[in-house]
Amino acid sequence: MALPKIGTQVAPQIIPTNAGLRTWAAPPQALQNEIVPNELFYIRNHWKESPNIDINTFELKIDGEVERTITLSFEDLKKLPQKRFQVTFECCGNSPVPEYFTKSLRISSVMEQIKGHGIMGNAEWAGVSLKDVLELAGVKDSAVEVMFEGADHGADEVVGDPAEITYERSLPMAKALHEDTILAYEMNGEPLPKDHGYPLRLLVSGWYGMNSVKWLVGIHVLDHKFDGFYMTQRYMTMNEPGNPVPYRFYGKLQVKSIITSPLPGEIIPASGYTLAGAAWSGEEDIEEVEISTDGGETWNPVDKLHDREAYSWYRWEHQWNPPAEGKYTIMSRATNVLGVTQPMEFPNPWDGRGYGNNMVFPYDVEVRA
Amino acid sequence: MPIIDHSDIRLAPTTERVRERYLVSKDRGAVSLTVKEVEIAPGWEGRLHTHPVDVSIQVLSGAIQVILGDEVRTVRPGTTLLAPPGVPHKLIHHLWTPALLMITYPSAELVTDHLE
Repeated sequence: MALPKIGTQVAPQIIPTNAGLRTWAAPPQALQNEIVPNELFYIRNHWKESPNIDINTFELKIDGEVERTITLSFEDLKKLPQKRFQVTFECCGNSPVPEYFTKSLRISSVMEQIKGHGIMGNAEWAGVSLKDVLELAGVKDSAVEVMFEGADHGADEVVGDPAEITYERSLPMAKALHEDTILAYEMNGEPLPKDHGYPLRLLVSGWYGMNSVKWLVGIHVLDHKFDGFYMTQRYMTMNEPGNPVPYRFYGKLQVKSIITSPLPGEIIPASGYTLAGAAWSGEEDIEEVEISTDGGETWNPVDKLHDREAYSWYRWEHQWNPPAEGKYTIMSRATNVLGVTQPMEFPNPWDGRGYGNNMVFPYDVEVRA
Repeated sequence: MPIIDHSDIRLAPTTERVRERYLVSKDRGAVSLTVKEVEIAPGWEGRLHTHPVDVSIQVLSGAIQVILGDEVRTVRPGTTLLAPPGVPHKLIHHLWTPALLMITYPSAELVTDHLE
């Protein structure tokens, strides 16, 4: 066993959140800067082992409702025009659900305790437009959806049934043909790391993370809506009783904001402090971010709301001069250009999965001289 | 024989960001064993230290970080750490939420030698 040395500097590290080692959360420090480095970017996989894919024999097959079935090598893909921009995304299970809900619901308690806001990140991605790839095959008018097949498969991680299932998700044609829906092969200037889908993943800009299928090996254009396991049995939540639409599907990221400075447990000096954080709304622009330092009684717009790059989060800063020492509950609240504001409460209390939590998060801090 | 009802014992603050409660202790008649729960809040850093006896640290909830050589390892529920007699160890907590640990050692008192 390696012994600790006196005065060892502590580098932030990715946080294992479940026993099967399929999900790691970013530590709080990783979300303080614009770009989350690859080694601290969250990982949410469905099976313990990431597929091993040899880039020299890699093939991407495009078939279904197309004029011609084609197979592309990695070299073929690299010859297409490159797209490179930042994209922020989160898992739909990101952010802690308030304890008053978790007590009565069947939420995975261990992950709920550990994950914080760490099941999200922002990176610069490079790849090719899915539209360009689909045009090589020629999409027929009969196309309704595009289904994406990953190389990852196995037994369902929750109940083991089905015993063998492949990770597959689909997109409607409008999103599949959007020029910013890309097949990514680089993450922050490096080849896609193995746990992030090497050598190729789908990247659905502005949407929840599970839509962006990793280890992409097949693109299947369908003449019907895809009703596979990971579309209908997972990543869905029940809507409230009486809602004519019984289930909720997680596509576009909802409007949301978080405070990233101070870090959890960091003491705020009474002389003043620059609060900082991030806000995002997927495909929409953010209109305003407000701050409350009195538990939601009063709100003020943040001093500085930086522009985003492509689909990245917006970074914000706000100078706070606390009136006195003591304990405070601070909150950030974002509103997008459509006028949609973060809810004050967890938005899906009638479903047990804790998904889609974009509430205003109370954050307890301490101010000292 | 004492039957120890956990609901009778509250976690009490000991130092900055740390609360603890003794389940098995000399106050309850133990002469060669201590079992206690310790809750550590984010932003806490322990100091490198040793004990003359084995100490086991089981993660009950949340997560904690342990320094091994130059690296920091994050450990979660389903994990127990063993610090053998005289082996320096150090825990820190720079994560999202508090950790709850169960600490056990084969004595009624615990001697700690701080190395930093």
